[in-house]
Amino acid sequence: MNRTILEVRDLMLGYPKGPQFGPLTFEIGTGEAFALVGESGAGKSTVAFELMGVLNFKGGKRSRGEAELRCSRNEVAYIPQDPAAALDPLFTIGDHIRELNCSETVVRSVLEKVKLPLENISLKSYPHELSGGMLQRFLIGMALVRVPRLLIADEPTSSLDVVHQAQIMKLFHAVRDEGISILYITHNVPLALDLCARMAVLYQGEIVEMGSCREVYRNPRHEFTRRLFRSVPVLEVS
Amino acid sequence: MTAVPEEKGVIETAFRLKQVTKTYQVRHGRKFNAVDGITVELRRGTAYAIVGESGSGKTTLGRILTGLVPATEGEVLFEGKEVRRWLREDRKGFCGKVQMIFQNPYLSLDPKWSVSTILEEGIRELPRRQRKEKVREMMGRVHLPDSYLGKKPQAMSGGERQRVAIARSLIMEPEYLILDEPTSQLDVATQAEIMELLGALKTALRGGLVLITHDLALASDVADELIVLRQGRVLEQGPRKKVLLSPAQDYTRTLLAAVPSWPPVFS
Repeated sequence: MNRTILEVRDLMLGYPKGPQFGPLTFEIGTGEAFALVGESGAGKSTVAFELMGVLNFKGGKRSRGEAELRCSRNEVAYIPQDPAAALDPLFTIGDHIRELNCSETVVRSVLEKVKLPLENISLKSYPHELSGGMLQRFLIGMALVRVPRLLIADEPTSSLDVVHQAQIMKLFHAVRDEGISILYITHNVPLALDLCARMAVLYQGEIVEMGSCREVYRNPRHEFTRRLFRSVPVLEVS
Repeated sequence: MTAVPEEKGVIETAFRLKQVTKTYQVRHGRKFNAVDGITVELRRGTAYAIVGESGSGKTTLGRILTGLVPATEGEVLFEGKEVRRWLREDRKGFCGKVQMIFQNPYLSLDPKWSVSTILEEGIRELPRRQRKEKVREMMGRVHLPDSYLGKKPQAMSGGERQRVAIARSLIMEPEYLILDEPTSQLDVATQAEIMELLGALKTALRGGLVLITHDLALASDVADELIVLRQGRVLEQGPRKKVLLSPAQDYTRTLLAAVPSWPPVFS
């Protein structure tokens, strides 16, 4: 593996009177896509909150261990899970773009990449006037505008239909090939295995399995991992 | 595997839509046709899946079928009667035949009500003992323990909530279930459980079911017949096998190609 960009050691996270997660240990290399997979409530998003330094705002805290970033925090971009809640409802799309403080050409090219050309959206529209899929694509675009070194994507395609999902996954492949590291948080196993080389499976707050995707898929050791692989819907043609 | 029609040998049309259009007013007086002149017939005893990307009009079409949304133009008939009129004149009668399951179980249940109140709401006219008995029967059908009856939605996971929503519909003993993306808010393991439940329901329902989804893998799991929508119009309709094996439209091929490959291929 190349130089690591993120190293998480014995990290314990938790909410007061709420669930506790950990200890978690994993690392992500430069230009590597790493998948954190698990069912709802497993603690996936909490890990993202901690890495972004916003866990204490969410009422949780780290009790032990550390997450060491080998790049500036400004070089970490985050794609939140719930697009509708992530944008200021009183700001127009144009206001959100202005907040990025980037030239229009950059914004234009990035939005084109996420299949949301500026011609198709009115800059005067408010977030509630765009569909969930459009908002999600807009947020992905916003995260990529500053060319991050580490991209934390928390269920980035959960509100997209399969067609747009496929387009965004193609974009993530390109982002990864450009050398940007990706922490891909999802419950969608096929997508995780498609994009990432290594994965960790989170179950009830603990990493129960970690390794190369190929290895984990061929020899899942934990019952939950086996169930996860079995649950994937298969296109039945016959 | 199709549900057995009520009267043997008679395959009748359940829903008949003629040139149905739904127009929404958007900004600056512009109009947008969410559903654009759809003419379809849904036969009894057949499980349908309506597939298409977001904005294709899937949800609006589902809501038109259940009468939640009035069509701007065209005719929506269920068993030969106009749906909205039927709803106005005999709400109970129609709801006893057609029920809808919504996309988001976090929004479709009343947060102040316990599971037993939610389930009993539709059968209030029955005597208490019968009500309780039926509620327990439904809990068994959706594989929820009786201890959940006192719980409120907040204390339950997404999958459990969706089960309650399904039980709430089933208690009306409907002939038809219209399901609008019933698993899109749930994780894969829970999704598999709900899909298994739908598979069992398919054979038990007297009428049939309509699954609205953007995921062809899920559609192929339960549906006998697929309806592909795009921009409010029916692009392709036919038996599952025909549509999946030899799609007539490029768009259907795009949809098929977009389904993530499984089992994975490692390079």
